[in-house]
Formats: sequence, structure tokens, C-alpha cells
Amino acid sequence: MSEMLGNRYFIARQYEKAISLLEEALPNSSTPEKIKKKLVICFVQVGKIERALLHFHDLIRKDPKIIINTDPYHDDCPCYEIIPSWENNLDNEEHSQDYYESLGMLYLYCNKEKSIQYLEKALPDTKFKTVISSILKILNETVPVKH
Amino acid sequence: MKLLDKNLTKVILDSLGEGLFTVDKDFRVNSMNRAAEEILGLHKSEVIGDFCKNIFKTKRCFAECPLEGVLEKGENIYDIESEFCHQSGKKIPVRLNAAVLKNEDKQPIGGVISFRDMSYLEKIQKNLIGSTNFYGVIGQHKSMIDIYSLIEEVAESDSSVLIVGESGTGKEMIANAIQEISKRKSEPYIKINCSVFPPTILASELFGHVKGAFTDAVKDRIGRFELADKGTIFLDEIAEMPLQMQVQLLRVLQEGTFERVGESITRKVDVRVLAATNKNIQKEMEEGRFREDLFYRLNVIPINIPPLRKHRSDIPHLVQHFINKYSLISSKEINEIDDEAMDLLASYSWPGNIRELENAIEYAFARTKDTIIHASKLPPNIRMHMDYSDRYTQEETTSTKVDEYRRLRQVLEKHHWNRSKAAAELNMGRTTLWRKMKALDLDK
Repeated sequence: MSEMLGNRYFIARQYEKAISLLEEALPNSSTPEKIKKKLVICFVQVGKIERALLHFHDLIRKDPKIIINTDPYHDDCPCYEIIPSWENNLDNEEHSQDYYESLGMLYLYCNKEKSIQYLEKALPDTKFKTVISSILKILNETVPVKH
Repeated sequence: MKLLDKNLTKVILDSLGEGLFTVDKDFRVNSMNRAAEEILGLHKSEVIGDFCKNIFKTKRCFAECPLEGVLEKGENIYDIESEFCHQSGKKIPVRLNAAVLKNEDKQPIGGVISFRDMSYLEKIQKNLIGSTNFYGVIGQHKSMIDIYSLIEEVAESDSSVLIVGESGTGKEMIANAIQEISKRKSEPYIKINCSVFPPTILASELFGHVKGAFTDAVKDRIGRFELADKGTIFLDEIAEMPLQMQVQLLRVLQEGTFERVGESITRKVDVRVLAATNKNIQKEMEEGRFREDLFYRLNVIPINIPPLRKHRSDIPHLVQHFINKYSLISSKEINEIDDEAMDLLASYSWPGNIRELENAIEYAFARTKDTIIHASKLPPNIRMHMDYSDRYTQEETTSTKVDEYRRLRQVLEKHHWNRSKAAAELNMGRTTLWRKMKALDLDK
């Protein structure tokens, strides 16, 4: 099995299938950040928020610009496609805690300010208070980037 | 001038007639040859570094990426049909091959796709259809004209059609014509040959399956009936369908409902069914291999296509059509057939019908070097059918002579008219063979 097939499943938006292949490729990869960026989105999409936050936090600690500088076209980032459905569901969901965390992570690929807004909304009730506080601290210290 | 290795590779790739591009493990294009640039109307500087799906924009890029298939199965893919998008937005039909590139550790690091532009075949088909008698069908015999009238009369109908005719009579061409003038002509038109698939696979092909329904069902798959929703499905060789599946088909015809293999959800479709068979369907019913209720559901509009021997007057039209077709395909300037060859074709019994006639013309094209097809260039079985009776009077045509003529001709053709080799196989001297050939007027 291979990273290449994992990349292919990511392009085809088959997130569940992509996860196992990308995770397997991660330890030996010369470009782990590229894989982690994809894994964050995959884990959010399959509802595994804790796993998504783990990789998200790693990347933010290394350099938030790895995510912030994402180009939707040249990086084939699906966040513009998937964020609207997450936001639509936000109104209908009674327990939307995961949604704030998910949107906070997804938005960083295209809009840092919105990302911070959602992560701040998540902060009061999240199970991952320490991680999210750490992420917010780094993001608030990061120089704004023009998209 | 000595070329560097890298330049040499580029020169080789650019000299290919086939388009070729490679991608890295992220599916970004990292090389493209000149033919690919020409076929797609792009310059490599515009595409290098971009994702292949953004450039080629085919349906396969999303659902059935050939490289994904190679990665999953570990086997290269050859000669599959696809469609690329020219820079102008025009769709280009292609046939492509796909292979994965691996590093020393056998890890995939990229892929290579080579492809041929098949647009010329579409152009040929369009030109040829324009010169046919009825939406791609050739024939001016009354039996054919009656079929055209029937198809036109039922053009507005959604009723099932059962097309019956011997093998090679053009059942699929008739089905295509029905589709072409029907009110569903802009909707999907799906074809399936029921004899090609084993029973278990046929169910999945027709109705689809869900992941885990059987050993190889690694993901959900939509069936042909769902693909044909709102359109038409052509079920060729319907008499080969297993009885169990005939029950399922009957239900689709009656209620428009079915279930995917391995699933209990009932799905509904709106599909017009065209079916065809070369079997004697009455006999199939009598012997319990075909359900009577299905027959009556399918046979709402019956069409019987006559064998070619029953409409011989169409042979010259068909011959001219196939000459036009193969002169376009082969780029040979052959535009005529001599009288002797036409007589041979007109009097032959054509057990394989129009398909056999087309094959005969294709064979003659391969052997013809000038602009006219001569009798000597027709397939041996057709020539032998006439050769002897042409050359000998009734008194002379003893069965021995006929047999000897045929045997000598077969062996000589086998050895490309090398008399020494033929004589050796016939266990006779070269001179004896020559004498016999002269006596029988046997010549290349």
C-alpha cells in the first residue's frame, strides 16, 4: 500500500480510505507536513476530532503558515467545498461542540480570522481545552497572511 | 552531436505518435510529450506542476482513475476508453494505457499515462452514417424498408422491442437506430451483452451491488439499469440470460423496481428495454430455457431482421459502404470492386451475414495494392465457393477434381504460393504439382 494511493483517495474525496494509507506513510515520509495537512481534513470529515486536533496542533506548533498558506487550487484543498455543509448543519445540530472545533480547523486552510472565531466558540465547552488554548495562542501571535 | 541522456529521453518521447504524460505521487503532472500537447491543445509550461484532474477533466478523474486501478490491483491497464478535454473545451475520445512508476524500494513514486486520439474514428462514423439508408443501417430491400417504417411508427413509444435475427445481421445497428429516433435519444443509452458475463456477475452488472456482497465487491457499484435511468438499455443475446435473472428482469419491466445485489433497498428506474437474440426464442420457451411471460413483455414490438441471403439486392450497397469505410480507416485509395469480385460476393451464401461481408472487404483491403478490389483478393472460402464452378463445365466437375483443386489451393496459400514447400507437404514432386496446377488452371 502506498502514500500515492492515499493521495489519490484524498483527491477523490474518499477520506476514510485515504486515512489508513496516509497514516501508514507518515513515519517514513520526507514531507510529513503535507500528509498531516491532508489527515486533518480526513479526520474531521470522518468525525474523529481528537485525531484531527492531534495533527492540527503538531502543524500549528511547527509553523501555522503551513496551513494558513494553503491555496485551494494549487493544493487541491477541499475546504471551500466542505465548509458550507458544516456551517449549514451548525444551525440544526443540538450538540454542535464538535462542529466548532471542526470548523475552526477547516477554516484555517482558507480564513484565519474565521478559524480563530470558531476555535474561541469551541473553547468554553471543549474536551480539548489545553490543546485549543495552545492553538489559539499561537494563531493570535501569527502575523496575518493575505490570501 | 552526442545527446545527453535527459535530452535523448525527451527526443524519444517527443517522437512518439501517442500522447504521454507522467505524474508524481501527488498526481501533479511532471512531464508531457509533444503529441500530448498537440492532442490537448496545451503547452507543457501550462500544465507542469498542476494536478492531472485539473488538466484532463475527464469523468474518470473523479470516479475511475486508471492509476488508482493500477495502484489497487498491482496490474497495468491497457487500452481503455476515456475522454480528455481539449483546451477549447471540446471532448476528445481517447484510448489509454496506465502504469505506476516505482523506486528502488518498489514504492510507487508516480505514474505514466499514454493515450491515442480516437477522434478520427468518430469523424469516419459520422461520414458513414450520413451515407446510410436509415440511421447507420444499410439496405433498400423491401424487408429492410418495412423495418425502417416500423421503427418510425413506434418512435414515440416507450414499449419494449425484441429484435430477432441470425448472428451478424445487424441487430445492434437496428437497436441504435431505434434509440436514435426515440424520444429518449438524449438520455443515457446503455448496452450489455448478456452472454459475456457469468450469472453471478451479470446480476451485479445489471442491478449493481453493495460493498461485501461477494468476494470481489470491494466497494458499492451502480448497475447498468441505474445508469440507464430515464434512457434506454440494450440487452443483447437476451436468450442467454439465466432463468433466475429473467424473473428479476421481468420485475423491472413490469414495475421498474429492483434491488442491488447484497442490499434490501428497493430502487426504481424508468428504462426502455431493447433486447435482441439470434436464438429461436419459441424453441427456447418450449425447452424451458426462456420464460414465456418475459417473452411477451419484451415482444411488444417484434422486429425480425432477414439474413443477408434473403436480401441479396442489398449486397452491392453494403459492399460500397464497407469500401468507403475501410478506405477512410486505412487511408488506401481503394474505391471500386471489379465485376468478377462483385459476382462472387453476390452469389455467396453469407452464413455470417453482414458481419462476414464486412470482414471479407476488410480482408480484401489488407491484400489490395491498387485502387480496385479484384476477385483474387477476396477470402479463400468465398473464392473457392465460385472458382471451380466458374472454370469447369458440368461434365468436368467431378467431385475428385473439385476436391483436388481445393486441396492444392489451400496448401499453396498456406505456403504463400511457394511451390517447393507446397509440393513437400502434398508429398509430390515440384513438377507434378506444376502439372496439376496447369491442368486445373490453378493460379495465384
